[in-house]
Amino acid sequence: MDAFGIDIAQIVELGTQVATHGAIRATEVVADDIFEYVIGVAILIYEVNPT
Amino acid sequence: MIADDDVLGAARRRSEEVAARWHDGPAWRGLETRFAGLERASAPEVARQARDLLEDDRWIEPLLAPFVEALAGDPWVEPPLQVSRDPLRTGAVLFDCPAVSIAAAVLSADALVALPPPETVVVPGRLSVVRYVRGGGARLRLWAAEPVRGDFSAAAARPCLALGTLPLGDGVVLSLDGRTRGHLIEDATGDVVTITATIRPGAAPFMREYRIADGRFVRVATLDDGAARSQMMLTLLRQFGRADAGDCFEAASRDRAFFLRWQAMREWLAVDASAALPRLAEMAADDPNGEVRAAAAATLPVVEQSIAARRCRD
Repeated sequence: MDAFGIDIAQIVELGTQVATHGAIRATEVVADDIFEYVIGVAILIYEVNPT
Repeated sequence: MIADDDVLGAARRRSEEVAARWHDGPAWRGLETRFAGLERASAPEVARQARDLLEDDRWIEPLLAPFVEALAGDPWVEPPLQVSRDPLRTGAVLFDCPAVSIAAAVLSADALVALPPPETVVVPGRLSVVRYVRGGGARLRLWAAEPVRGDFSAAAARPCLALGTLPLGDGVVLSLDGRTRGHLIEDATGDVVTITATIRPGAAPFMREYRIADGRFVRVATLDDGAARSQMMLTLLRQFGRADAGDCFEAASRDRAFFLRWQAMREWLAVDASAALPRLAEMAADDPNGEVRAAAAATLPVVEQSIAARRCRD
């Protein structure tokens, strides 16, 4: 039997939905985490497509 | 004003010179020395160092002087600072190391007045020490939330409680334990200028948001950078249909972050249900998190039926 997947929309999610890092931003704190996250995404894009 | 390539090239070289001078300067070195080796220290220990630093603000002007001087001579020079700008706030990270991140920010009183009143308050999850260089005549409104652990459950979250307000005078230094306290600035009549030291050790696993009207929990975000990156990578593996990445899904299904464990299983089931099935059964039986166990137990018969139907068809 070949590998097959189940539609992810049919798989239950947890009652506690945890948003990703940087999704909530405190009003008056400079969100250095946002910077870290943007850098993280840039690294990810580079790793996926170094050219 | 649009600069040509020569002007921008010269500005880039000057920017590099300024950055090198800044990193070698006594002000930056002083910060580096103060927080050296504290990445494994306790949060109160790092906070004590931050408070000692922020009680006296005479280090800030020398720290920024190389940039002020360079920008006076060339407006295209770019200080090597991470900068954030939006209508409400302009901020820059002045210093960053594994123990602490120090940022300066100006909060616009005009923008604060123009905004609708906030409906939620954030409990950021990290200890911070803040110097209100200019208090702007504002008040700090505080809330208390229960301590949060790695097995946080939205259903069991207790509401946060309003604690009252503090006046923000110029030069006031406050330690704000964002692991159990949320705060908002209100009633500013002038811009609020802050230097904030955010303490990295001892952070809570999550940042939480609560409704101001009744204190009810609204949502939660992870502060675990590694887990957030793993979530993205797992989704990417699914999108690419990487059935050969079973080891990655399996390893992530054993992560300490409960939400990552379940996401890994969902992604794995969406790529290769048969390979994921034994681990799904394990999670239904003995995952340490109740919500994960329940989700796995509810999913198990669905997956078994799908596999059986597929076998019949093949």
